[in-house]
Amino acid sequence: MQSAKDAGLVRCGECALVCSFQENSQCPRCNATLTMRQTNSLQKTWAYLITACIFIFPANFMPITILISQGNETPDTIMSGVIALINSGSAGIAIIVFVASIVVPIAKILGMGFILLSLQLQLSMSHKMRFIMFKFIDWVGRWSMLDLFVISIMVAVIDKGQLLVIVPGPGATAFASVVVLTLLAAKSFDTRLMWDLEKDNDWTN
Amino acid sequence: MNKYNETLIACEHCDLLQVKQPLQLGQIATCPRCGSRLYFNSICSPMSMLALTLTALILLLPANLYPLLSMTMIGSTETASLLQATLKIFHEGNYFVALLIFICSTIAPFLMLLSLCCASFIISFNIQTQWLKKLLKWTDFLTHWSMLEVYLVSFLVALIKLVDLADIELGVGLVCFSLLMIINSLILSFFDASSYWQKVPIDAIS
Repeated sequence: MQSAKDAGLVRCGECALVCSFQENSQCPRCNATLTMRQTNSLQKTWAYLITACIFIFPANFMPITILISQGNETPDTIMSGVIALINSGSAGIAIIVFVASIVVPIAKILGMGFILLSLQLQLSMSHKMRFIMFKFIDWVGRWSMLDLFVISIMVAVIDKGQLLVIVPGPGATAFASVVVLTLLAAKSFDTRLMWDLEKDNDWTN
Repeated sequence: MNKYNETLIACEHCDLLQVKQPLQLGQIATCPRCGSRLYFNSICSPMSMLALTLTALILLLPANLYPLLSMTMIGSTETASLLQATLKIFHEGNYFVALLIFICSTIAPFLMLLSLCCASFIISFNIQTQWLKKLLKWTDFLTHWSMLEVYLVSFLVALIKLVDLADIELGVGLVCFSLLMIINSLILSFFDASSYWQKVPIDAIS
């Protein structure tokens, strides 16, 4: 089995046409600049991940919503929201919110970090396993948006002026940043780099 | 000018080089090394895709503007449509969050459907235009940011949170939004970008 790179060919990143590779040339079909691998893929992914790492703390410890009832402010972090859901008897929903808002972002950062490290240290692990791990991280990432959508619906519906209002807290902005940064991290990671190691390590599938 | 070979395909995820095989209707070619989908012979022609995207675009308007739910609490009723919910966050001063929600729930799905609709139209009626390339690139980019299915699940979560607090009535917007999500998923599973790209003429001189 041969990769396109070994054959001196490149797949156009935009339109998937297989072309011969030259530096600084363009795809004959869609005019996109041809690059063998995404430029600085690992550096970019690290940069997004580290930034996400910083934002995950305010996202989890600052209030994501603030409930104002007759002048009393009750700030809610992601975790206290989950606990409130468990106490009100909807454990199923609590699990969904807990997984989407806490487990997924943290698992994404750790998982991507692990993949990047194992790639750079050339740890011998199954490429298929590593790839399945990445695919899962990539797919599950968008579900972190769930909590933000929930907040927007709650904020819109619960608006009784002086009596009862929900407003998004500073944690919401930090959480949104984490979601965007982890999405960008997954997008800037070039999975072909994982398989490029194959011949170096002499892995037989 | 780069040489090209349309009979070859390289896997998007692992770069494995292979010769394209003709497929029967509905068949999917997967990469033997990493298992990703390479290309497939969609049962949905560009003309059917045009119909699907147009339906979705029509549904998009009521799905965004009509109330998803109305809630009666302490004597007064509040209704919320998708767009209202986004605007409220904006007015609270959370511009970044509002922008993100707006992109993922409204703008990206709309532009993605619009560009795919135009691309399907161009291919169905064999129109020669430079726009096809741009439309296909936009479609690919916007698919990543269109999160209708996530929004629907979020709505259910919000509903369960609210149901204990007040009387809830579901709105017309929700019906349209659910239909929109179903058609959107159909479009995503039927859309084969490679067959669309094959319709783009390759210039002799670039």
